[in-house]
This record gives sequence, C-alpha cells and structure tokens, in this order.
Amino acid sequence: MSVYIQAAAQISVQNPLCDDWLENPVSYDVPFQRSIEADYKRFLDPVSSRRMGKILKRAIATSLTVVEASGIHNPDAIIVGTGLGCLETTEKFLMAMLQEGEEFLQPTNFINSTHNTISSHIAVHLKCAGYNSTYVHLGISFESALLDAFMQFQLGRIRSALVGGFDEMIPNYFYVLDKVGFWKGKMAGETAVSFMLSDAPGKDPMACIKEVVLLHNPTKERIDKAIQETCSSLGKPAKDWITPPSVKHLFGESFTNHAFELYASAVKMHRGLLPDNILLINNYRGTEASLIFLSKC
Amino acid sequence: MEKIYVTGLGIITSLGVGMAATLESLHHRKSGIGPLRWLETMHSHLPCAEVPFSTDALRRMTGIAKEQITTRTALMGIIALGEALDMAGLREKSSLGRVLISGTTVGGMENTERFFLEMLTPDKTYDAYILSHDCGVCTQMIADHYGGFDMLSTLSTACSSAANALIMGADMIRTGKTSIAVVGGSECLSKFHLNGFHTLKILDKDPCRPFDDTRAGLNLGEGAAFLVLESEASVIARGIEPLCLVAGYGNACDAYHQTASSPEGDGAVLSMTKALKEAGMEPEQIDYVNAHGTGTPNNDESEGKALMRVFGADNVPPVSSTKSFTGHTTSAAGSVESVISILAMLNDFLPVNLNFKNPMEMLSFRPVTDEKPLRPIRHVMTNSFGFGGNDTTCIFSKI
Repeated sequence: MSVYIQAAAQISVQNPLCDDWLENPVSYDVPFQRSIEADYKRFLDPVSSRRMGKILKRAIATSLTVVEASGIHNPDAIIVGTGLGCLETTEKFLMAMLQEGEEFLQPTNFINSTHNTISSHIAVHLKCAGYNSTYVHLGISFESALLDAFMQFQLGRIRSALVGGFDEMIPNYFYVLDKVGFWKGKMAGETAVSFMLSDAPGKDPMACIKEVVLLHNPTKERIDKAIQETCSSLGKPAKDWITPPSVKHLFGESFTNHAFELYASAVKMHRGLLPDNILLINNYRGTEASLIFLSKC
Repeated sequence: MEKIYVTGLGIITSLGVGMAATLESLHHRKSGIGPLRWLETMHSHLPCAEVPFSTDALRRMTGIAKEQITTRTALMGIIALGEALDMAGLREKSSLGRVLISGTTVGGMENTERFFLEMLTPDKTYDAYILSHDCGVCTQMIADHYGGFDMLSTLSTACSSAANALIMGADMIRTGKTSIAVVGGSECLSKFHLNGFHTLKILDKDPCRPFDDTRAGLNLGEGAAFLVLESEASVIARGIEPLCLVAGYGNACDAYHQTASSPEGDGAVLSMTKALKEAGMEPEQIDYVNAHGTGTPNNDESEGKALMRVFGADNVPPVSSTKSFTGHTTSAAGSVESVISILAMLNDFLPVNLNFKNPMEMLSFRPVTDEKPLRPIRHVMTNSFGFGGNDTTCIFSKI
C-alpha cells in the first residue's frame, strides 16, 4: 500500500505555514517557547477566532492550508493525534473550578476542553461528515492517527484523509513537567501539523507512506524484529531504509513532535534532499515506539 | 471480508462487577442511578451512577498498593479487562502481537483536579501525579497490570471513544496487523466533567427518562468494559468457543455543532447506514437497537428521528436506552453498551428502558418496556454519539 502525502503545513516555533526553517531556521536558547502565530484573518472571521483557543486556530489554519495546496476540499476522513488536547481551555475551566468554586463556571471552556474538539472543529469548518477520530496516546498520538488513516486506505474505505498532530503547552503545565524532569534539557515547544493524504499519486506528491508500526514496551530486539518484518514485506532490505537526522532541535519537544519529523522528511524528500527510502523511529520514554516507512514517489 | 469474533467480555458499572451482576440488574429492573457516595462536589443533589466501590476498595480488589499512583479509571479498566481476558482464556498466556485499544477522555483528571494547585507551588509532594494526567497513561496502567500487550493506543472522541476503539481494533485484525485486539474504554466520574455537563444544563436532577416526553437530561455514570476481538484463524488455532461476531461498524461526523446533534440526526443516520452496509445487512435484519439515548431533549429527538429515517417510521426495531440503568458512562459507554447488547442477544431478552411513561409526539416508536422479545434476537445494533458529532454505530451478530 502507498499512501501519498499531497500537502503538509506547520505552525510551530519556526515561521508559520512555510518552509523557511530549511534555509533560515529561527533558533532559541530558552527552556520553553510558544509557537509563532500565523495570520488567522486569512482563515477565520474575527468572531469565530475570538471563541477559539490557540490550538484550534492553528489546527484550522494548517488544515485549510493543506486543503488549498492539495485541492482536496472534502477529505473522506479527518483524524487527529494530540497528547494533551486543548490544554489552555482545560486549564481555564479547571482553575476557575478550583479557585472560584463550582457555582459560576462557563460552558464554553468545558466544550472546548475535550480532545476531539480539534477534529470536530475541522469537520464543522470543512463540512466533512466522513470518518472522524482522535487519538490521545502519549508520544505516539500522532502516529496512532496516521496508522488509523493508513488502515482506512488499506481497507478501501477512503480515498483521501486529513491527518494532523496538535499539542499546545502552557506555562503552568510546563512548570510542573519541568519539576519532574520531563523535558530532559530539551526545549518545550508546541505542535500543529496537518497532512493531506490520498491513495492516488496526483500531480506532485511530496512522499509516500509505506507502513506505520506501533509498539508497546519494546525491547531493542523487538524493534529490530519489527523493522526486519516490515522491510521484508516491503521487499527492501533494512540497510536500504535510512533514518535521517532529527529536527527536534528546530521544532522543540512536544507529545506530537514526531509529526514534525514526518513533515520535515516529506518536505526534504520532495526537494531531493533525502535518500529514497527513510525510516522514522520514535521511542517515547521507552514505553511507546513507532516506525514510519517513507519513500520517494 | 474477514470475520471478527468476540471471545471475551468484561464489565464494571454501577450495576456491579461482571456479567452476572449486570444481567441480574437488567432482568430485575434494578437501576444503578442514585445519590453520589464517593465524588466530592457541591452538586451532590444530582443523581449519578457510581461504581459501588470506593477507590480504596477498587485498589484492594486489584491488589494495587496505596502508595502506587493510579486512577479510578485505570482500576475499573483493570477489573473489566481481567474478566474479558479470563473469559477468552488469555490471562495467563502472554503472547506477542496482542493489542489493547482503549477509550477515555477524563484520563487522570481525578488526580489533577485534586492536586493541581499544590503542583503549582514549589512543594514537590504531588508532582508525580502530573505524569498520570494523560489519557494514554490509563491505557498503559490497564495493559501493564496483566502484561503481554505488544501495542497500545488510546482513543478520545468523547462519548463514542470506546466504540471507536472497537473500530480501531477490528480494523487492525482486518488489515492483518494483529490476530487478537482487546478493545473498550474506561471512565470514572470527575468533578471536572460533572461540572462541565452541569454548565451545559443537561443533567437531570431526577433519574433520567430516555425517550420520554418529560425527559430533562442525563445522569452521569462511570464504568469500564472490554471486548476481546479475534480473527477466525486465531479462534481456530486456540480452539476457543467464540461468543458472537462483530458484523459491522460505522463512524461518521455530524459536522453540525460542538455539543448539539443536528435536528434530523444526519450524523446518526450516516453512522448507522455505514454500519449496516459494512455488515451487508438490510435494516429489517436488526432485532434490537441499544440507543445512545442519553435522556437529553436534543439527543433523543435527533436520534429518534434518525432511527425512523434508517429503519422507516413503521419498522423501527425494539429500541431501549440502558443509560436508565448505568447512567451515561461517557467514554466507556460504547463498550459498556456493546457488552449489554451482546448479553441481550446471547440471553434472548430485550433490556428495558426504565422510567418511560409518556411517548414523544414526534416519534413513531416507543422504547422497550417488556423484556420478552417478539422474535429471536440474531443481530443487535448499538449507537454511541459524542460531543463534536463523533457518531459511531456497531453491529453484533449471533454465530
């Protein structure tokens, strides 16, 4: 099975909705950096924009960008991965409840606190009534969404899918995670990446996804075995699949930061800056791992 | 298409632990909805359907020490998963390639809402709880209690989370990625979401009355349920007697509003139609529908109209909402109600819809009030709808 990446877009600590980071990366020397916001007026009217938290605005902007770039206006599926969901609105509701009590809470912050708010906002915005799902599995939330999309293609249920990885980080949550040593010296960032995928190559695909594998509590042997098995089913030996250098130093650490690895690989592969077959490996705290096999189209 | 069997079931709700307790309550019309006992909130006048054990008692039942960080969601999940693994004969055998997909939305919020303010001070006593906040950690805790799971994932599509976990697991079998997928969901009550639902003004101060003209909202519940799904090859190889088949499922998005369903139930029509199509079935083959039936004015009207559109106004099969027993178990509802639907099918009875008196004018059908079926139950359908219009339908069939 080949699933083609037709378009990809990001909002991050790098310049938004473009590939500037390739030639002119923005560098930081801080423990925690929030994203550079895009100009949302292009995508949202001021009333809707005011009602939405940052993560929702970023999700709509990256999604509409890949819709425009691919010309696929009504994808058959919208699948999102998010480690922590709409953290900012969740915190607003939580803090109001803890500090002011249970009497005068506002529904809007609760409504926008559920993780699937992101995928359903995109669906309402694009008027897409198709398959819609949200994965929230730690550091492989994005890859879970990608695996689901891949399977929907394999089963012939869909021809196109909008898949995204989204996470925001707020000062209080950063602070507590910092106290428990979660960041391990890496800069905490935020993720907003959307991909438009299709089962047909189209005119100018960026790259094609050949397989997605998830593993729990894997030993090194187990990861190697999974790589060997996938390579043999894909008909190319393991030595032909090259793991490119990570882009984490450019985009920062986040629960869905592996979406940036796929995004950057697709951009580079499209420009001929990477070998023809690459393998992206994510090993999240030793408990959850993912393998993404990506090939030149 | 490859057949998918159900070979194990496990459940814990306000009706108690396990299949036997659940069946007995359903037969005896004994609802689990009542006054709150464990959750501390100023809204304690609102009836809820709590699992009838304190968190300490759940710890004792699972053998998890008081010092070990856990969540009520994980503890309930561990109990339900244990029953499902026992039934499928998988508790002891730890084989590679097994998958657990679970649904939750509240995740570790019960700890976060208790300790967040302390975590924000320099004091470090409660910091470690932040690592149990994520939804995915609950799935890890549930899986690692037994071990032997080679892949995990976690779904969160609000109140259809567990139903979408079933789809993910079934699709993993259909694409040959695994031969055994354990699927379901777990969710405990939290002050956070009780207050959230309260701000939406959709909680009834009386026991809920799904599909009744006087319905005035839902009652929150809690619980967990898991189903063991298995490929035909695995069932044959292990020589196990399967319980029933997963015949089909469908997921669609209402794409209408964040918390309200479209007036004519467009998303619900789509998810039911997709599930029937995938099962290769005609609507008249469905013998019972376990409705989402929350008891809110909006859901029951929208879902009721959707049922009339899918089945025809004069041909709606027996429908009931067992949320009148278990309350709305939110992210776990999809698997809780799948287990209840399968129990109904295997034991040839129709779970009744409690508290129904007054028919809704706009609906052509009335919910089930007599558990005796008029025809054999061969195929059952269950609906799970979430905020954001995440609508999912599952169909199970007798073998």
